[in-house]
Amino acid sequence: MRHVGRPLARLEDYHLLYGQARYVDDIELPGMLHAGFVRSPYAHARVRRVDASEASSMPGVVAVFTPQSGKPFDFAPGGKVRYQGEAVAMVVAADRYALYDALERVYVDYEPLPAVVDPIKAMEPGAPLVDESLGTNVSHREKYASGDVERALASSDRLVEEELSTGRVVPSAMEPHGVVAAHDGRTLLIYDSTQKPHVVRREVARSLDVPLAAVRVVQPDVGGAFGSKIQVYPEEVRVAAAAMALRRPVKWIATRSEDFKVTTYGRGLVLRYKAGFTRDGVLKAVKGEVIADAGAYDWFGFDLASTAATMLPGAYKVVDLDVDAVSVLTNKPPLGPYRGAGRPEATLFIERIMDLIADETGLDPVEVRRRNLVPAGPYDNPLGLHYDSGEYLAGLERGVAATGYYDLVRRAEAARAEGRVLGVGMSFYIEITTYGHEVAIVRAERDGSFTVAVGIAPHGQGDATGIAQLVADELQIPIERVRVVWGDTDVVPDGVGTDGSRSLTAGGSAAVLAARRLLDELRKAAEELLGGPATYSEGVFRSGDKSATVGEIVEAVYRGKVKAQLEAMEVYRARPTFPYGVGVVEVELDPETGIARPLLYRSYDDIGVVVNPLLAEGQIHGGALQGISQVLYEQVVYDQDGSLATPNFAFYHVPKAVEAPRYEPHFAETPHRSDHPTGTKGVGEAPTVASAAATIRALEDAIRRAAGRRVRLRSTPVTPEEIYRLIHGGA
Amino acid sequence: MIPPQFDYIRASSIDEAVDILSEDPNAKALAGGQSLIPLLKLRAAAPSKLVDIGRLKELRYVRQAGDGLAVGALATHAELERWAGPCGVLPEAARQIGDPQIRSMGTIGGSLAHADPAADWPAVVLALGAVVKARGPSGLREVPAEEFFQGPYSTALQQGELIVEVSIPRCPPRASYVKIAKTHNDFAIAGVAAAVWAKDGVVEEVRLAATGVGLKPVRLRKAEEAIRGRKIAGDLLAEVAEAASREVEPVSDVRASAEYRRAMAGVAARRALRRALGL
Repeated sequence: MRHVGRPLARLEDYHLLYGQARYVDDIELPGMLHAGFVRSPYAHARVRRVDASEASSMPGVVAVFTPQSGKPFDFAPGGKVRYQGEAVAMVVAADRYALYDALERVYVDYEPLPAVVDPIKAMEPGAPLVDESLGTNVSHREKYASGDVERALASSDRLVEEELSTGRVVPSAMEPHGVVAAHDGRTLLIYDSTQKPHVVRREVARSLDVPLAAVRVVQPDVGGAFGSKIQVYPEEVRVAAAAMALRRPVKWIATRSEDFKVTTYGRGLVLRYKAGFTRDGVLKAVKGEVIADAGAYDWFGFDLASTAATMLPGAYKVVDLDVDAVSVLTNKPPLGPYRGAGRPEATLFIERIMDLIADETGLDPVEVRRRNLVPAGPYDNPLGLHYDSGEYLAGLERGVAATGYYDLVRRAEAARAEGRVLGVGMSFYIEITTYGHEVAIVRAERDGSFTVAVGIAPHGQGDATGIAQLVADELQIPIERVRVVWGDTDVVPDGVGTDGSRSLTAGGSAAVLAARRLLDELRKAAEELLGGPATYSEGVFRSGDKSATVGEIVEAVYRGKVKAQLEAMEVYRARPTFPYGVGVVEVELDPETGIARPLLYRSYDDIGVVVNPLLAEGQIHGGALQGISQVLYEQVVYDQDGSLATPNFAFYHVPKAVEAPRYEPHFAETPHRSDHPTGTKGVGEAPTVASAAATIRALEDAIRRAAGRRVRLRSTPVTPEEIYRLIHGGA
Repeated sequence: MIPPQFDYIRASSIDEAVDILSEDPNAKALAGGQSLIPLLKLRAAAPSKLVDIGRLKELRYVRQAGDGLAVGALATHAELERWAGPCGVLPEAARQIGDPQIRSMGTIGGSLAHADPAADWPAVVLALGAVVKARGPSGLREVPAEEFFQGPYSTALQQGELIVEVSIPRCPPRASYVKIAKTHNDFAIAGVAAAVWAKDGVVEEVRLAATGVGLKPVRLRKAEEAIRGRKIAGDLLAEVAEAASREVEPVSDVRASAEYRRAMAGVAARRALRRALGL
């Protein structure tokens, strides 16, 4: 029986459901010490002196590392801290109570400096500089252009100029950052709550100048990441260095408040643009810049701006484009990837433009998209991306039908009679997933079962289930005969990890190809054993009237009767692929308070082959809610000095089950395969890409009904207070 | 949780708790822990001792008392949520507090003693005309709710005093509590409790109280005056909303501006009255 396409329950759940999960903080090693960090209360300050004398002499304190300790304890580079929460010293103690008491007794002499909080202001001359050595806060700028944007703007019937922005969000993984490191004289063993164990391994080996072979990174159970555990944080390297220096295992677990201070933030992109369109609703040109609020260090700011800039045209025909990607340093924690990483922003921006064209021309929003869409792929996006496959125009029509968009619009109209204010928004998205190489090793066991080791590092997505389905089908065996292992650099030598909606596509393809290669190897042994050409079916090789099971061949190899590799490794390089679809959101607005709630999320997604509909739907649920929540609930507020005014979940709202809408996802009946062996395109981020753009339109629609006039929403989140003012007036 | 060091004492009687609390000004009483524990986690509080009164069963009750109700200080929000007797505004309000975990642990006495300016119970006890009974070194003291709340996180409780009971003299025949918050478990942007006694279709007596719209919970006296003695009809709603909006003195913070809170005080007052009167 084939497994691909079936909604099999996750193979990863047993230990979670039976309370056997092991997160980093569950790991206790003999003699283990606890590390913590002294963090700056200022967003920008010169560090004059760090006095650790009192802390060092406190009971239970084993070591204090300060900027004077040298690399990798080079805290406060350039002699200053650049965001509130940046580490200035590290304390290692026998237990956490001693640790936290000592952290309060490290005295730091700060000279506060003016902070720059807003990226637009940071670009102005005379703004305080985050990194003086650059002479500017603009850390990187690059132009993406095609056609003749000036001529296209000049020949447009209508012009619009405005600024759209996506506010920063906290990734809010349920498990905060944490790491345990231990060195036994031969191996530096690191347990890390990460999305990328192999990248951590390389970074630690490089930073500490130890051979890669001497570093083993294990990813235990990880309680979510959403992109925030892609970066190898300085803390991870420093904990490893402390374990080596002190010859004791060392653990660091961030508190929730600490996680709010140090984790990479998501979104934080601004589009300043001018666009031209015809009176028929055809977008002719976009000229502008995508500005990333990169934070104090440009870890990912430019990459995110660049992704958003190059994906800005979406699947629309517009070719006259001139878009700069700009990353700007600010005195805030560094920006990083967060579910979608540039594509939700690009889609929100271009879909906001499509909605504006609809409002300005009086055309139906679906009709505007219809008039602008590229009919089908493959298509070379004018800014250099190759869209692999898909029927964009037909996909729009199918999506509008499958989601019942117009029924929802009619329902919203009808609800007015009952005194309810509903709003409906739709978006069409195309997004880029998958990149880089991935590694898989498939091993045949003596009883004919198989172990699959993969370099992807899933942490809740259920990819191991999907890979087991793919490999079981490739080998024509029951899924119970396949075990998938991951998250240990000792079981597979390399890999990129899990991010970018790539795991099942890149990791799954590597596993399928490795299984295929292993089968070829086993076939050669079978033919030698059976004395003739052999065919394979369901775990058995046959030649004439003779046969041998995989298990018998493996036994024969171990007994020296025949030679064969029992393990096959595949390094698969995965090119990008482009899922697309339609997202529809229905909200209900309380016009008296401005508070809106999501009622329904419907979607139509062409994500290529759906390996496991249950897993895919799960991704739609969580991903859609994160996109909706970006618009309705999640607001990061800094004061003018760069202090975080929303420092924990008492102030920063992530939606709970009660705030979630109904989900009604649809997948394309005849999906367009990617050219990867799995045929998949990825689904982890697609719903986040689609839902934010649809939610802001749904809100706009609801506010229009309540206020009796058109409004234009240009930034996320949209707070109840802002909505209240749009309806009732006021400053 | 990695709080600063403290001693922990599980009180076996109210007297023992009062003794310890009155001897040591830095000792804190621990009931359900839904305010104190987060403060300890943040190291924002550093008590010398935690006096755990959570197991004092004699403080955990809800019972009818004459025309009113006696609520033990350790009655949890969840227990009040399940209360099916008179003063139906108690379960109505309880279900709007936090989330099921918080309601299972948190107590009405703890909430009143903590006196968060946006907490829900303070508005409700004000509207109910409740009396807070406190036990201290010099015995039992009765403090009307009106005098109990003095400012943000500040009450009339003196050192060594513990709330033992919230006494509601007379359950209003019509009452409601309406909370306006961004998400289900957030603090109120504005919350208003309404208690109404009507006779022959006329508002005979009314008490309205608001939370989240100032430094402490307040009676909405102007709004009350606007409708006291008036015939029950839809036009009361607009008037009460306007009066409530006008008389509150909210402050701006990261959750909401003062102007928005002012507007929401009006909306909450209108809705609470509408629900109380069944309009």
